[in-house]
Amino acid sequence: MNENSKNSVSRKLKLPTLTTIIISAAVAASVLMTVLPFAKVYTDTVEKDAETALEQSVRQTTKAVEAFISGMESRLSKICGEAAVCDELSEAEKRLAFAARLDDSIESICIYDEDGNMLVCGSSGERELKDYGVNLSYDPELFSRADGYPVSLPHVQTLYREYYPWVVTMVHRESGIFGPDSVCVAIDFSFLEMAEYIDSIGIGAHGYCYIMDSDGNLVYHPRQQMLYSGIVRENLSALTGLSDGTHADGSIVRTLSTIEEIGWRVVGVSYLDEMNSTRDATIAKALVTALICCVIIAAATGILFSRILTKPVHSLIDSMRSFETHPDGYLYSPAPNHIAELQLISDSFGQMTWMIRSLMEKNRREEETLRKTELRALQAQINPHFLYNTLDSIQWMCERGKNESAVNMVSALARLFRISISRGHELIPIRDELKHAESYLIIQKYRYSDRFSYRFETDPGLDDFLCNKITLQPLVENAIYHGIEPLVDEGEIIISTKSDGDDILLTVSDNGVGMTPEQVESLLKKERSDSSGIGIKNVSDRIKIYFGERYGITVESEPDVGTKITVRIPRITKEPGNEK
Amino acid sequence: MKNNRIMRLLALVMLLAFMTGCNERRGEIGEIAVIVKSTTSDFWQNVRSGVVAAATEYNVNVTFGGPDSEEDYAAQNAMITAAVARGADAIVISAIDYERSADAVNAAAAAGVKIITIDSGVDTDRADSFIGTDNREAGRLAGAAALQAGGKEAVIGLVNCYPASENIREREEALRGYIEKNGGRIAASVSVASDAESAAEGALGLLRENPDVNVIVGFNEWATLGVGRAIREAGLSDSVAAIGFDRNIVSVAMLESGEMDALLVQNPFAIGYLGVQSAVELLSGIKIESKIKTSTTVITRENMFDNENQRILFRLE
Repeated sequence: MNENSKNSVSRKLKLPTLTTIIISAAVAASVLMTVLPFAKVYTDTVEKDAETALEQSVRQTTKAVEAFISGMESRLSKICGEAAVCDELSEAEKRLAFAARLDDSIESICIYDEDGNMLVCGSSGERELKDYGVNLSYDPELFSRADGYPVSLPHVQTLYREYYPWVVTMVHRESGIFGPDSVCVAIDFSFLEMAEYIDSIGIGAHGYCYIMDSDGNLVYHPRQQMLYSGIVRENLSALTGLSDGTHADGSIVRTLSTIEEIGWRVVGVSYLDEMNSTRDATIAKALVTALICCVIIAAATGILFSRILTKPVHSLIDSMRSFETHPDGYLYSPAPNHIAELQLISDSFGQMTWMIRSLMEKNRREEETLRKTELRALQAQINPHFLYNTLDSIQWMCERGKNESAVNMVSALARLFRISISRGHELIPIRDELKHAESYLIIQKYRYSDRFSYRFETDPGLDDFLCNKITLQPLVENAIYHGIEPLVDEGEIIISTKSDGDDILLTVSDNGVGMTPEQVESLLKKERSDSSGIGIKNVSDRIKIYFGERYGITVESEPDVGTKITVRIPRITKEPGNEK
Repeated sequence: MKNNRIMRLLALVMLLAFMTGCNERRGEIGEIAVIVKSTTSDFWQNVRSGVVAAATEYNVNVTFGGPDSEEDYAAQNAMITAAVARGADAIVISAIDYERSADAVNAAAAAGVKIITIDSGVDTDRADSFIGTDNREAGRLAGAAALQAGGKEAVIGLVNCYPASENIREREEALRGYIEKNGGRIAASVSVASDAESAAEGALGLLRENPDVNVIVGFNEWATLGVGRAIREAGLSDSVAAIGFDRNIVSVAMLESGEMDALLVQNPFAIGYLGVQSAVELLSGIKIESKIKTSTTVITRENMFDNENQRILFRLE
């Protein structure tokens, strides 16, 4: 496996991550699809609930205020009745004061004549009437409507020294008290109870009620002390046009309700944005919860997946990688897993490796056989030409009566062949190879009529080691044909053996014409073109096939000086097994 | 295998964190402790009304308290510490002493309690907001009222309670600045204890020693009561104009009867209301303003019963 594909794999998503992402996305999507419609329903419900709460509060407040007013009215009419029986002012004052003290909600009961002069006043406490300032309880406009039971806006009562309670004044015209003229009976009712009631109304997280009149004047607001400083604003005049009922204005929802008898309007205010933010927070909470759960589930599923799915896949991948790097010695041992498909893949892979290995083995053997066949064929090539020439020479010797020489020649030829054939073995002892070369030299020396001499400089200790057969003969042949033959003087061929570390060096050197570097190169590269005998290249190839690339032939040559060809072989005594 | 264990641990931690997170969010706002300088004066009662209004409106649990004396900073500090010990979520504080209240407030803030200051600040940077009267503006308004009552030749006497309080100091400084720029003369000033009697004594003493004083200013509710009482006792309501702060029922009555000439009325309801509102918003994670100035209204005999001023001047009680 090369670097590139490794990188591309690490850049791609791993299976557990992918599973986690896919499951998370799926769950997140389904959560969203569930939560969002739910949120819509929830929103509607919340808003509806809030509106209902607001309307209920306003309705209750309206009823309460109505009860206050009708209570005031019934008390006023009762007091009018009681006052009517009095003849004397002092008597009336006592009775009024008594009535005021009986009822906590009454601050004072006063009787005015039609010009607004106070005739008599009964107070709930022992209070001293002021002789200065204004009387806010007397409002001519209100008193002009005194045939009914009109109610003033809440105001400060200014009748007494150092006493300023908030009151509403209710007035009623009554005739037949203190003489013929009609008088107005005005009661200042404490506004405190009603104010506290309104103060106590909280609507939702942040809402309240207040009261205005039909003209847009403020009656009471729980935060009325802040209304005029710009901190709190209520646009009362804008509300006067609104009918009773619920009105949404942006994020503010208002419910209005009119108290019929006196024309006051109860306004309930609720803030939607706060409801929204509460709602959004709730929804966000639900969503976050769901999403976190989803991620946890996805992570757990991812782990589970990686355990049952990716683990065998990874082990398969590891097996494949190690098979890629060392296909020769690889033996597949499948990891156990529980998924049918993966088991199938694993089995197929095992099958495949086995097949590939047997194919490779087969291929290798075939190649080897092919090479050996080729070599045998080459060894066989040596014979015909040379044999013909030699036999020709022997014939010639016999004709000239050179019997002794003929005998030598024939025995040398016999030796040559014996070694060549050598029972089919490729490797023979160096001793035999040297004899083979000598036999050849003897024959050639006869044929070249002593135009060259030869010499052996061998290390007898190396004689028993093995070398490829017919290694030296082609080199000698080369020396004779290309070194000695063109030479005018007598040539000399030296054959030597010596050890070099674990290797053995066989050398054939001559003092012939030598070769140019180009010639040397072609000698090592080309097959022999004259088609007789074995070429140098073949010798080298055979050695490399048997022993490896570091062995073989080296040629040193210099024109007019000579050529030295060295064969390097390993020091062995046994023919290596078929594997090598 | 190891990886799996880590993943499982992670899942567990996430689950736990998530559950505690839920619990925390489910918790409502606990206690908001409002601690003021005292609970007796009309001013603080009105702050209380605002506090209660906001508490009702926001549905929060609010406690309201203060020492008996507006000078007892030690008692107030003890109340701060007690509120922290009770586990209050926020303290809305009106500090008696700008410096000597700082340690208790800092300790509360260090304990994680949110701090909102109202009315009078304290020497700390741990407070998230200040809500109160613009005291410099109030001081200038008092100066203007004094000059209106006494004219360019006004000779002014000042009656002051507990000047270590930040708000009182600021009012006096602003008034002095205004007088310096716009004419008039400050003849004398006297510091008195926070009750009507000693304020009256102090004011009487000032008037005796400085017979040329024709305007006298009281800087808070007690000082104002003292000033009014002194003028009544000395029978000087025609010759000496009285300017005061806040709206005690007595001082309002004196305004109506002519013994007082102007009252500078702060908005204690708003201060209390906004103090609690800010605390609620802060605890709900809403960003709040670091300073809210509430208004001061100049109330005179002429305008005291105006529709709006009635609501400012007279508390429902």
